Amino acid sequence: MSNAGYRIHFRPSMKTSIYRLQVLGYAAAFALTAIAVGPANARAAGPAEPIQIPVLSSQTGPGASYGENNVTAMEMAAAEVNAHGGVLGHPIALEVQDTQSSPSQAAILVRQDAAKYLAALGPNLSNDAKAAFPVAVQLKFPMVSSGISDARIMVANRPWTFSTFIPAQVLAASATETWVKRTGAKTIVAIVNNQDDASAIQESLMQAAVAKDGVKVLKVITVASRQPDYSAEVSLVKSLAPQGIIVGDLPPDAGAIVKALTTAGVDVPVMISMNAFTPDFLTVAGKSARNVSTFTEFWSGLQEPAAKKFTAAYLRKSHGVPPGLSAVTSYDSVLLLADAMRRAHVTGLGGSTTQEREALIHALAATKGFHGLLQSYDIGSEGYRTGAGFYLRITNGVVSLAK
Amino acid sequence: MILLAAVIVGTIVLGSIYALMAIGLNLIYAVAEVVQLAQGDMLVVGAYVGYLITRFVPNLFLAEIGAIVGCGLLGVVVQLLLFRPLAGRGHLPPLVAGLMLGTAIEEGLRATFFQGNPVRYPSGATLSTSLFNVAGVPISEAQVVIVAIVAVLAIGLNLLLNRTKLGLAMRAVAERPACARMLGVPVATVVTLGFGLGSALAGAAGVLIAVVFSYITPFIGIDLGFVALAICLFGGLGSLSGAVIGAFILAFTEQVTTIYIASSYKDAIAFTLIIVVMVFRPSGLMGRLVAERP
Repeated sequence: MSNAGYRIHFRPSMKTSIYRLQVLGYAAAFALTAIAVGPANARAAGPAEPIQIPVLSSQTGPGASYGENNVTAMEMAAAEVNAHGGVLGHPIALEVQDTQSSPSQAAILVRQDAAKYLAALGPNLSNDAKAAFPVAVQLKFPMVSSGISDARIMVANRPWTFSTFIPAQVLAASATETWVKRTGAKTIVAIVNNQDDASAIQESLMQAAVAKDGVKVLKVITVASRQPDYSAEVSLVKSLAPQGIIVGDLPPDAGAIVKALTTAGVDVPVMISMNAFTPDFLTVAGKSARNVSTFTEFWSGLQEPAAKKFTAAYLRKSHGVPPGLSAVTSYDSVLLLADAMRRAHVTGLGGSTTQEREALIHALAATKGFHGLLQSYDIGSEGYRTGAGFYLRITNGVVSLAK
Repeated sequence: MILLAAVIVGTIVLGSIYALMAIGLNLIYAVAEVVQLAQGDMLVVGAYVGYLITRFVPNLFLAEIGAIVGCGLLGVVVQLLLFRPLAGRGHLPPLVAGLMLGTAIEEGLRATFFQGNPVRYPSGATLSTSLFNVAGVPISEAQVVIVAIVAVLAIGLNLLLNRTKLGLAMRAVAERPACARMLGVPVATVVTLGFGLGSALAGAAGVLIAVVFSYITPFIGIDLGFVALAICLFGGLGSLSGAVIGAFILAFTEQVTTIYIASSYKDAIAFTLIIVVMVFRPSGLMGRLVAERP
């Protein structure tokens, strides 16, 4: 086949030429419109340029249920901030970034964000924060998390990281002492998931608290995450005949343990760690949770007007999944960061500077009487929220505030 | 006495479920020579199929049948679309494909079912009523039903493999695929059906796990798939009797360690035992010392 053949084959017909002219005409019209409208839009958007805030959240992987619920609450908080004028006249826009429930991925995201943004929210998991926070400190990048249950993580990463969560060190001891007094238990068995840092820490704090009251810990039984069967552990508990049991585990697993204990006829008071108490715990344990106590900063059944209003609004967004504690602390983390940015007069627009970031962490550290969703509180010198929690009782699957 | 009884009861119940998981994986390996790394996720699919069924009819047996059929069909589709095109391209591509398939299933289920929040079967389907005591250990209706279902499935599988033409063809393909092809066995079809059967067993195990486990999430199969693979290697890849023996030894080791030593050593001791066996018998307890299948 000759080259001439190709030329003839591809020569545009009259119809094609007309079509091309039409396309060129539309393109020219579009370009002119864009030139005319573009600058006007830019001018209009100028004063209200949004402040991008990255949110490091476990959207996939085993921590995904926490992450998605937290983001729902954060988006509600961002809407609240923007409805009240945003930050120094700029709306805030959350940019959700998936840590994949992986500490290494969380650290990578912090490194990327530190080059682009003023500050970040998250991560929402303690394990992710352990890897991400040291990077933030190294790069002098402010971060506000909502789920750090171990105060040591905060202490180790001063002065660049903050948390709206009351750590277990503050709540666990007093709540466990209350439980011992109420139940009168003199011997206990502890069941702990050592694979989960938050559970293990809370469990050890609870054990220390009972030991202080002269309670004897008969045995510490360790379990794994997503363990298929607890029959061996339950038989062991039964053979020891304790007067009380304390459980430190993730919510569904703690629910499964409580259910297995009840099914096997072990009917003694149970205290579960703060991180174990979420709607997932109640979903799994159901009515098997006959005589369970716990402590928390929030429960969706609280009758305070602010709690009821938040829960109702959250349920509309979450398709019926009730908010857990981390939803409230996530909500507060957005409000706290926006509040600190206002007080520090920083937005990070046009590229954040070291001075802006330092001003921001000073504002965060100086937080006093901050109006959170449910309570007013301070940010302590170690970067985490101060305040008190609630002592709850769960009887036949029904939660009530202990008097 | 109560502890010894707990060990025995726990070994029987957990060992039965482990056996079902491992038999499915071994069956797939035997006929397709593929280590299906998404087998744990197939199990989760079965658990969710059972969940959907029990939402409408809280009946464990219907959930079992639904999971067997659903996962069997899914296994056939997966073999035809994913593993058949990769046949003959070495061992690595199917392994990677299995891993990717597992992640896709986990994330797909998470996006579909309540953001991955745990769900549980309605109480009518979990049969938690305590029937009787064995030396102080309460035996629930669910435990009895689980062992019975596994026994029925194992006997059914045994009959299928040893008393039917399909079973004969599967054994022929597992032993000598080239010879089987020359003798007129439709090897590709048999491999697909074997894959479906192995996946169906995973689905059956998924419903039982959901009953024992108290709840399901898209991620419960990650560890269980690993356990099934370890049992297969321990008992002998491709050996169905090895899978059963391996499952009960692993369950027994876990129960004894939990009760008499400490739960935290459970995995360390169980998997060290597996390593020791593999060092001295690389083909596993019941595996044949054959390097490559002709």
